[in-house]
Amino acid sequence: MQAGFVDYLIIGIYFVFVLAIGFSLKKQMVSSEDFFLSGRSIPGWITGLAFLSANLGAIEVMGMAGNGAEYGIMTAHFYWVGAIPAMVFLAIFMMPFYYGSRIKSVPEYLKLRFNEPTRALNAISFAIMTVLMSGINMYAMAIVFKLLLGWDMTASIWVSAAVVLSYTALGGLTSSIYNEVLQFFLIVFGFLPLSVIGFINIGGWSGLASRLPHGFTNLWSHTASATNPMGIDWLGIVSGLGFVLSFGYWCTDFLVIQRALAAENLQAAQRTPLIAAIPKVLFPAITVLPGMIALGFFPDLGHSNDPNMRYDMALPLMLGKFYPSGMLGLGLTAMLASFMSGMAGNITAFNTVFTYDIYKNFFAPEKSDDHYIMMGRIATAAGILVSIATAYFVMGAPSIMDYMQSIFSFFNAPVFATFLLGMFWKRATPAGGFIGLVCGVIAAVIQFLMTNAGQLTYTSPMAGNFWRASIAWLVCFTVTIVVSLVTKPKPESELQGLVWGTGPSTLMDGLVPWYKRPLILALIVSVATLACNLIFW
Amino acid sequence: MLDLRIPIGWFFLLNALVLILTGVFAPVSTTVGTMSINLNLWWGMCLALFGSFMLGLSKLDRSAKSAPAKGTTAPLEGPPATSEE
Repeated sequence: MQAGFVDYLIIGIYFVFVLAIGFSLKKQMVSSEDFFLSGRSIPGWITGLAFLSANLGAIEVMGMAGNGAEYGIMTAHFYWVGAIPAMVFLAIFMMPFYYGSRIKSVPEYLKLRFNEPTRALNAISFAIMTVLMSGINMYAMAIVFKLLLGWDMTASIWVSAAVVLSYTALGGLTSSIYNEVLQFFLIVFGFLPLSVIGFINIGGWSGLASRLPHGFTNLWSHTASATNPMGIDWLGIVSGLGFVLSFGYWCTDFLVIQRALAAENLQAAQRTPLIAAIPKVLFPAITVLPGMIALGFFPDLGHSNDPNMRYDMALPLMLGKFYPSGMLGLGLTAMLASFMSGMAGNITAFNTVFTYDIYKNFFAPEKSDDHYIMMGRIATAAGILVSIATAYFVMGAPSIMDYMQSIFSFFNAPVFATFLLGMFWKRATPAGGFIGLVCGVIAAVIQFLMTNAGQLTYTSPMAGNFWRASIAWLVCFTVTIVVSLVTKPKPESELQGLVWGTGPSTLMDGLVPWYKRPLILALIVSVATLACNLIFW
Repeated sequence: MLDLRIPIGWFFLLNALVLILTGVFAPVSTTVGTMSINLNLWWGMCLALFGSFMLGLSKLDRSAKSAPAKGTTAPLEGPPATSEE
């Protein structure tokens, strides 16, 4: 692929805007609440789009197109089963506790509801996971731009790190959120024409189906057994992906929840995941579909030793095939934006958890507000340095990336059991929460090690992730209940507003126009999702 | 707080300009089905529309906020914008 002057010009314009947003927000970062929580003042449509974009990192955008080429339309399960139901649940049932308890981070909720060790375990594992993910994102970017345009990997890593550092250290969470929204529109405008042109040129749906292997254009028809492209049956999809993995990620991961906590009021916080869900329903059209089309045009995809023909290269291959210089710049910028905001999202979540849950909590509880902002900026820089180190580490041993991704994919699963019981069962005790979480994490790690040693086998790697997640969840869920029944619960007075049935009524609608009411939005999104599942059955 | 629609609007207008100029001075035609289109030119125009739409929304909001409320003697500048929806 050859990028010309115009393409670099468009990339340059993007860099200028990203930095300008950071600089113009700097003077508004007066208190630590401004820096870490955007002063809880962002309108719902912005937090909603940022909620969606924070998850649209490199691995998501290129990976979903790659999965589209590898598994066909079943990849859309990651949206219509594996995201929307969890986003609706988060908005309606969990957000009142997250936003209502005025916490600054997700681990802080665990402290209020259970105890300090539970928070520490969650905060530390989350902090480690986010910087590693940010490093993986950086590596993924460097390798793609090296393969595509021959960019030097070291230069890619350091330049992108410097840009992300500048705008997140200057403008804190707001800067990260604003850039995520810009990135959302860039992705839509950068990739939409690709889907449309590819779809027309391959001859529409029937043309596409005729060029793809059997079963690539059905969501559910072939899931009675595991003999479908994804190698997993409907039960695995519904329990592993639809329940454990997706609720574990969307309902507990601070990376996305942080966006909702920045909203201006509870209803805006509840609207955040729902506003995100509306484009999310349609997103397979610009992520999964181009991957499927790519397989139609490049049948060798995934079946060749050429690194340019890996599944993950489906999207870049399509850009090169259909876009002239100019549009190519827009497409490349969209990719670059998704890499950088994937990194920035992880870093802003990391600096908050590090500063509040680790530094302030354990090392320096009574410092001035300015001190914590400064610490947040230092944590940002340190987090980026660790990410860079991770990127180099992965560069030396690329298979590490697959390991890390697969272990992260089910690391959140036990945490979700802890939250579920914490929020909806008053009897869950601090000891139960902590011991359950520890056992769930250990169960996840043991299964991972056994799989690597060949002791556990699954019908496909994807099926492995789904089943491991389900088991880790079940272990945490069961142990938490058993330990809770034999230990002493917290008095109800300490659980006000933290558990279902203790605080004020949470399903307050009204006083806003119908299209802003969480329940109505939730209904619309659910019906649309159901329709998609039926149409592509 | 900075109204995000302003940088988004200008960002897409500027990119639209680059794409339209490319489309005019270095036209490339892309085959789409049975048609042949100048993708840079057409998509540049779509981006220009979107950019203007974002700037227009922002301007509309600001002029609505600075107008005095009915029946009051509120000053021309409204309260500090905390909600911009």
